[in-house]
Amino acid sequence: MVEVPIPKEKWSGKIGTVTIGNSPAEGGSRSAPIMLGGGSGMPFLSYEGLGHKQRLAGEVLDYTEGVPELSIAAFSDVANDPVAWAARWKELGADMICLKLRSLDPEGKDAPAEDAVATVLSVLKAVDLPLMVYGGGNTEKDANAMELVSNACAGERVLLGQAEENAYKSISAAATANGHALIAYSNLDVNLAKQMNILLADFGTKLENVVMDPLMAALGVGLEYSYSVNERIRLAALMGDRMLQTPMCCDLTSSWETREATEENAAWGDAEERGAWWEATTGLAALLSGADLLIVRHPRSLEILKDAIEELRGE
Amino acid sequence: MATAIEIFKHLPKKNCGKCNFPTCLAFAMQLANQKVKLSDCPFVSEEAKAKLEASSAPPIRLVTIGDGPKKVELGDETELYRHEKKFFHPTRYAIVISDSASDEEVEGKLQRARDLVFDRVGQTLALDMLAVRNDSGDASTFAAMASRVANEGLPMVLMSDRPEALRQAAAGLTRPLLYAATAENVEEMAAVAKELKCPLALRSEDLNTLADMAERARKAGVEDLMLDLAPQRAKDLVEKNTIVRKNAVKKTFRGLGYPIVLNACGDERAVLKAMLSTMKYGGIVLLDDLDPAHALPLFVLRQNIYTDPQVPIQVKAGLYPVNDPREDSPILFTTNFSLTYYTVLADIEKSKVPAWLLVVDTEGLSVLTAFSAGKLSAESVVTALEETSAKERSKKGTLIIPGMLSRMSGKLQELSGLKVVVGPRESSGIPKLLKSGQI
Amino acid sequence: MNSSRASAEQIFEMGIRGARTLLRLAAGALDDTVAKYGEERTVEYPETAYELPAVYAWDGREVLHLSDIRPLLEDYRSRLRDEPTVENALVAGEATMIAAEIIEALRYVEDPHPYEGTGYCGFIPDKLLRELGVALVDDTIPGVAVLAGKAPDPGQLVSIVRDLQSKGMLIIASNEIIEQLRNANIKMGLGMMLYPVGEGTQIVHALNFAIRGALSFGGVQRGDRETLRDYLSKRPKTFVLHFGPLDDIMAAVGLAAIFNCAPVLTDQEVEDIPDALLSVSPEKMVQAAIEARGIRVKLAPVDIPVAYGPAFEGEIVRRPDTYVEAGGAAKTPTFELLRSRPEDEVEDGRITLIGKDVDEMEAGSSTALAIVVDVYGKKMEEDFESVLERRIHQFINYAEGAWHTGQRNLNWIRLSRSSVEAGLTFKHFGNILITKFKEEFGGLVSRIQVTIVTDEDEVRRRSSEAMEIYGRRDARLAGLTDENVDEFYTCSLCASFAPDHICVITPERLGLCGAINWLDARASKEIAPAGPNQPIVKGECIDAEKGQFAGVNEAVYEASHHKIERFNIYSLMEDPMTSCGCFEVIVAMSPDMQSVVVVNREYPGMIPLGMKFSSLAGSVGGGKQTPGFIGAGRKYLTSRKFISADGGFLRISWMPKELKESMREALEARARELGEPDFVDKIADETVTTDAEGLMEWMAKVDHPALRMPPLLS
Repeated sequence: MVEVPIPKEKWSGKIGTVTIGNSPAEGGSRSAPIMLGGGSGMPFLSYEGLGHKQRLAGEVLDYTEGVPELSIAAFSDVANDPVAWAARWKELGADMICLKLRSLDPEGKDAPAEDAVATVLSVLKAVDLPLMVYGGGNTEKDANAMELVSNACAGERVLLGQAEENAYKSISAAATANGHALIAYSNLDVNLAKQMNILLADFGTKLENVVMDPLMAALGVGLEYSYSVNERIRLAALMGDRMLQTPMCCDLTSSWETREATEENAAWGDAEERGAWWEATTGLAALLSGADLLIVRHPRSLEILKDAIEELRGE
Repeated sequence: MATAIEIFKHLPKKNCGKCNFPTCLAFAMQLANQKVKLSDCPFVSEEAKAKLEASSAPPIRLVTIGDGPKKVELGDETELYRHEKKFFHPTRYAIVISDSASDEEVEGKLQRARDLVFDRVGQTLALDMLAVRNDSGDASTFAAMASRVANEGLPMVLMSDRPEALRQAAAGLTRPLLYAATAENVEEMAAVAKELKCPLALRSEDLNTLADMAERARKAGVEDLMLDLAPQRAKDLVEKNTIVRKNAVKKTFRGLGYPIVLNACGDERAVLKAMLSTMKYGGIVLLDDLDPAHALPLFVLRQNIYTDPQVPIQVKAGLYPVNDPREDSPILFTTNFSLTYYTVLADIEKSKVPAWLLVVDTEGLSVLTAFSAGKLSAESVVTALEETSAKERSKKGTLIIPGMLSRMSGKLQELSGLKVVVGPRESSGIPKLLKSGQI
Repeated sequence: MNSSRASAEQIFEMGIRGARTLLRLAAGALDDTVAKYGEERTVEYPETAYELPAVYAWDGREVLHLSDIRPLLEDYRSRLRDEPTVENALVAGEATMIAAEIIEALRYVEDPHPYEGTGYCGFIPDKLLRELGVALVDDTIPGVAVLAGKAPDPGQLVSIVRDLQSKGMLIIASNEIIEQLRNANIKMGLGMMLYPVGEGTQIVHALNFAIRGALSFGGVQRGDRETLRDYLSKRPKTFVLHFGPLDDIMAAVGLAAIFNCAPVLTDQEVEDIPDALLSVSPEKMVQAAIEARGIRVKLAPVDIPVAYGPAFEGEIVRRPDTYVEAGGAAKTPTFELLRSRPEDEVEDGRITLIGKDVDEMEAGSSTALAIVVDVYGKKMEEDFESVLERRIHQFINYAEGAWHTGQRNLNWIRLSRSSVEAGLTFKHFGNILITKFKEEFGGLVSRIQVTIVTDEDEVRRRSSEAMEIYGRRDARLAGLTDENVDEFYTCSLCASFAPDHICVITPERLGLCGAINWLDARASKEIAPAGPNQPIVKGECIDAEKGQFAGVNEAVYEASHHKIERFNIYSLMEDPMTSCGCFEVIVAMSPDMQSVVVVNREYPGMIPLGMKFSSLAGSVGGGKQTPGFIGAGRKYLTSRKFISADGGFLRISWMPKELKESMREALEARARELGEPDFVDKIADETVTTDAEGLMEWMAKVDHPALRMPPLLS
């Protein structure tokens, strides 16, 4: 009988490992730090090397004005209480909490940075999952706020978002000063993703502290670009491009901004179920193209993706 | 695949035009892109033919199911990753109907199948196929149900482990897929497939067994094969599909160069597996049913993944109302490159400010690329304004243009007669501009 | 110190003596402290996590108790050598830093608050570092100035401090400077961004402050000297301004600063040591320091009386709206020129007007106009002049009511009536150009001055110099060949559409989009070192005729993700360069294999290949090698390296009429160079034929030179 060969690629590179969260033994208060990355092959090919488990971060917002209602309907009872929201994610089985300090946005609530930092601290105190924190989207204000967050969370090894091409020095210095990791954001382009990592490395940030976010475009609004950009990043990393060997984070929550995800239409089935699958589908594409960490908004998509990760890894 | 020049070397260089291209070189280029067939050249020598066909034989066999405009084609893929060229033949979804189902159940599923139609960015996304499964154990019941379902006009899959039942049911249909031969009955199944000129699916959990079965089927005279790798878990699906695809396109093993069929009936993770199959080399996915809440994301995923990376998805040019605009709402324009359009649309929606979004046909290029390539100019914007009667629908007299096109503001103002406002370079700045009260 | 210039050796000798003195002082102080408190007494600075930071970072040894100090002092003393070499000087610098830090630390053993009530602040606690820290390394605080010595002219010292403050720098003062500033009523203190650390060895607190910046924000590990040096060489951008006579101790402290990558600028006559010690007169010190450390000072927005920004780039000023115009239809003499000048010929920020400005001109009039921009920068090269000069167009257009077109002496400028009413003048071009060039090319130029000339005689007089420079530039460009450079450049600006494609840009083959030539790529690399243009060292020339280089092959192999192994830069037929899809023109073999046809993107019709541009483009783009077809920039057509491996320029048999006419001058020049003066008219176009047969007939008819070449394909 013929023997079908397993076409295992001999890659010369490997994705590095980034740890998020410090346990008490390491000077933090997280119950279990998380390791991201470590893959030595294309995603979910066990014969090439799976690396660390892909993780799911549940999104918590400190201000929900302007967020599509349906997307956070499942959290309506805790929508004004980031601590309870985070605790709910833990019950639901999220691996991490992703706290987005939307309240900081000067075009929205324009809350003072100190208030946002207080929110971070109370979430940190109440929920012992590893934490990632984003600002409100205004470069200058975020730079200052993230510096405060970095200081306030010293020792916890938080994942701070986000370093961008034109705004990376502050956050990089703030993260390094307190031993945090950070998100290196780039806009849908392999070369930009690489350049971002080079800029950070040049600034003194070690790549073991960097998780890249190459911008995951949602299903129906450019998913195919992200899918290919991610695959190309992963391929280049495996071929030995050191500057791309950082774990990858994909934020799925923008899926809810897509009209078709949530529009009420009798012929399109239940809107919330459809929305959750919209987010989950974006997540599946992210996973298969190389994501190590996903940020999700809806409990149902967390459930789908959690099961998918275990299924795909054969666990 | 050979390059155009390598192919050209073997062509007669008569420039006779019988292939419908004025020169052999043009024909060679089309051939290199696999857009035409070598047989279109009446003068190509046998020797050249042999050489070129060997090098151009697809690593994965092209299998056609059904006939007419709704026929489905699978296989003939050449890439492992879509960015290397593209994925050619999209994954197809079939709803399975049992031949022992009640009338009501059958009609329900058929209606469901008819209803699964979505229009999206100029394309129609719909269910592709129907399948009938021989649960009754009775050949004539099976054949009757097959013929009833076939009336829907969609390509068919016939599911039975009994060759005779398949023969009866398939006899009245046009090229249905026969599903599926096992190691025990490959020869009998192949005989039916050969007789009725139908493609045949082979099923085995073990790849070696499957390769062996394919060999036996070929010996029995059936070339149009599909493979059911019978994956247990999602892990097996991704890994096995990858092994089969990679072996074929990298030519490390050619015995399994056939498209893949997945039977997700009775699987609680059917939707998940359909999604994974769509991204990872799946051909046909057989499903018990498909809820529209799942079908829409699934179909859109397929549309995204099978987009040609070098030909961006385009949206239809026109004037789109956003946030219920009126006559006093401003006009913004952007290109018909889908990604640009969606980004701009989302940012205008976010602002909650009513506006008209004029989408100018730039052949799917983004703002700056279109401008540089001359596909987007003050003239073409003015044409778009005229064609959409934009100035009658918005009487505000203001046109907001992408910040990157500041260079065209003066000319556009003159040609359009509108007050041109240069918007932000990044779409994310649109809400701020619209809300600023300066517009 | 006598008035003659001190040599580097003399400075080293002084510094080494100073280091010995300080080590001795430290040892004495240690003895005294141990006698009082015993060996086991702890020694530490207040509020820091880094023990004795300089020791912690550079040496790596732990200093917790007095007993830990003696071995350190012994060690550094034994390493000191008297011979005045650079190496020994750096050892002396390090020893000085260690000794000073120990002397200071011992003060804190005596008294936990040794500087209370003294007006000095001594050790700067971590708290301040954390408050300032990020700003210190992210360039919000552009630099740290350490003032040392005693200024001969206190008034000048004050103006230097004001200048530093206006630029947002952190200032650390020491020695008699502190007293001088106090007398001038300059406010000092930890909250003031001006720290008076102390009179003597306290200057080490400036150094250990910067060092802690590296430890804290740069993730530098204890004792990792190499990473530390690398970090300090980049940031925080610390420098020392020294005033007044030098003595041994001051020289030693200077060496300590230099050891920490902080250059010392002194008003004394000393021999310059590049990047380390500079002799500068006080009024030039701040500018010199900025340049020595590559500091980029934050710029205010362009300060002119009309709005400024890209929104006005496309604005047109029509004749009836024009207040004044120069060049173009006005036919007055004009030119614009950007020159790279030596540093002492450029006074940063100076704007000079020669002649009248618009306020003295009548509405509707015209004027002569010269715009001369002089720049200086350490990394600026004459080759970049044209790259920068081309931007004058855009920068002026950004101003509301200003309109600019053309370049060099063929430019044409208008100011609108409303902008002149609002107060816009020609002199404002100076403000615009200085701000914008600094903003966009700050990595290249550090000093900019602008001269605007409206006096017609003066414009004529100066234009001859400009013509000479243009001529020289053109000659340089013409002489810039692939052979006489060592590096080519990659360009990945557009790689998102064709992932495996990479452009290789050489002096004689510009990017296929036509927008980036070799000089642009080189300038872009200087401005954004990690950006889309990366140098390729040519390496071994594998095939000179086809243009194949080992270095290019390696770069292509990597960039194409191991799919493409070879590029022949000058060949169409064998391993040609790939295309992304944004080429200006496509060059393709003709169906009779005898010639090439060229088609530009704008041409919509049929070409003699039997295809149109659009369908051809689909086959040629995408990053795959397609022998017989290449994408190219228009200017490549007239390059001496244009498919030179396949017969070159004279292979061209067909191109669209519009393309031919727009390039006629350059095409004819190239034809003359090849001894075929009538060649351009032998190139067919769509008015002659659009099919293969017709092209063959035409070529035979005109006796096209390509007919005498071997076929492209055998």
